[in-house]
Amino acid sequence: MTIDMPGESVTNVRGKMPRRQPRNDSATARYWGVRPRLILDIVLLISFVTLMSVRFTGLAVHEWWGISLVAAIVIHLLLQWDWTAGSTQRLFRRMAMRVRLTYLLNWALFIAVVLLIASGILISEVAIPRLGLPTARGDALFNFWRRTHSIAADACIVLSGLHLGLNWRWVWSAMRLSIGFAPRSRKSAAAGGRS
Amino acid sequence: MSAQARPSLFAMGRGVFLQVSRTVVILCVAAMIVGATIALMRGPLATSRQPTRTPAVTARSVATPVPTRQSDRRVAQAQERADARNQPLPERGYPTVLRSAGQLLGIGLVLAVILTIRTRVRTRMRLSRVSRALSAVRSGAAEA
Repeated sequence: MTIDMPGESVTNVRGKMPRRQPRNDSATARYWGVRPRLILDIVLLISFVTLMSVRFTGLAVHEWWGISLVAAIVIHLLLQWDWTAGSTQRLFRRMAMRVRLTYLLNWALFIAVVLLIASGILISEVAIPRLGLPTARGDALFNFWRRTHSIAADACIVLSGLHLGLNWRWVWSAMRLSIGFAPRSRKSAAAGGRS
Repeated sequence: MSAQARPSLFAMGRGVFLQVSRTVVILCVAAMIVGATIALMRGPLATSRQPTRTPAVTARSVATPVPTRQSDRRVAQAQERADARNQPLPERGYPTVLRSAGQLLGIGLVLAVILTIRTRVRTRMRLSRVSRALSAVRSGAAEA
C-alpha cells in the first residue's frame, strides 16, 4: 500500500514491510535534511500563532515579523515544489481523494496567507511607512483590507490546523527521527518491549 | 570531502537558477491573487456596495430639534452604552495566542486521529480480505 503524501513515503504498518520514513528525495530537499525542514515548519507554526495577537508582540514586532515570514513561507513552498508540481500534473488523472484534498487545501492556505500578508502590508502603520513605501491609509479600500486581514488570519489558523492534520504522519516521523527515535523493525521493537 | 562528491559549478548555478525562477513563479502567483482581489473589490463587488445617497443638506434638515432634558439624558445614556459595547475588552495578548494555538493544534490533532483510524480500519479490512482469499485458494487446492 502506498499513499502519496507530501514529503512522505508510506509503506505498510506491519513489521515485514519497511516502515514510514520522511521522504527526502526532491531536488530541493536533497540540500535540506529532515531536521531543518521540521524546524522551519515549527518556526512557521509558532509565528502564525504568536502573530495572532498584536498586543502580545506590539505593532512594530508584529509587522516586521510578519514581513519576514514571507521568506520562510517561500522556502517552505520551494521545499515542497516537486510534490506540488507532480500533483498539479496528476490532478485530472486518477488520484487518491486524500491527496486531492491536500492539494486543494494547500491552495486555499496559500491564498489565505497571500491575502493575510498583502493586507497586512497595505494596512501597515510602522514597517512599510518606515521603508518609505505607500500604504492603503486614506484609501477607499482601507477598511476592506483591515477586514480581509482579520478574516484571512482566522482562515489561516483553521487551514493550518487542517494542513497539520493531513501531514501529521510526516511531522511525527520527522520528530521521531530528529529526536533520535529512529523507526525500528518489529523484532527489535518487540525485544525492546514497546510497540 | 572528495572533489567528486562536490557539485560542479554548473550544477550549483542551475540549482540557484531553478530556485530563483520558482520563487519568481510563487511571487507572481501571489501577485495575481492580490490583483484579482483588488479587481473584484473595484469591479463587480464595488457595484453591490454603492454608498447610500446622502440627503441634500437644507436649512430645514440642518436645524435639528432641540431635545428636551429627559430625551437628552436618554440619548447620552444610549451613547455611553454603545461606546462601552464598541470598546474592545482590555486584553494582554497571550490569551489570544493560547486560544489560536489550541484551535490550530486541536483541529490538526482531531484530523490526524480521524485519518489514522481510517487508515487502520482500511488496512485491516484489506488484510482480512486478502486472508479470506488466501484461505479460499488453499481450500480449493486441498480439494483438488
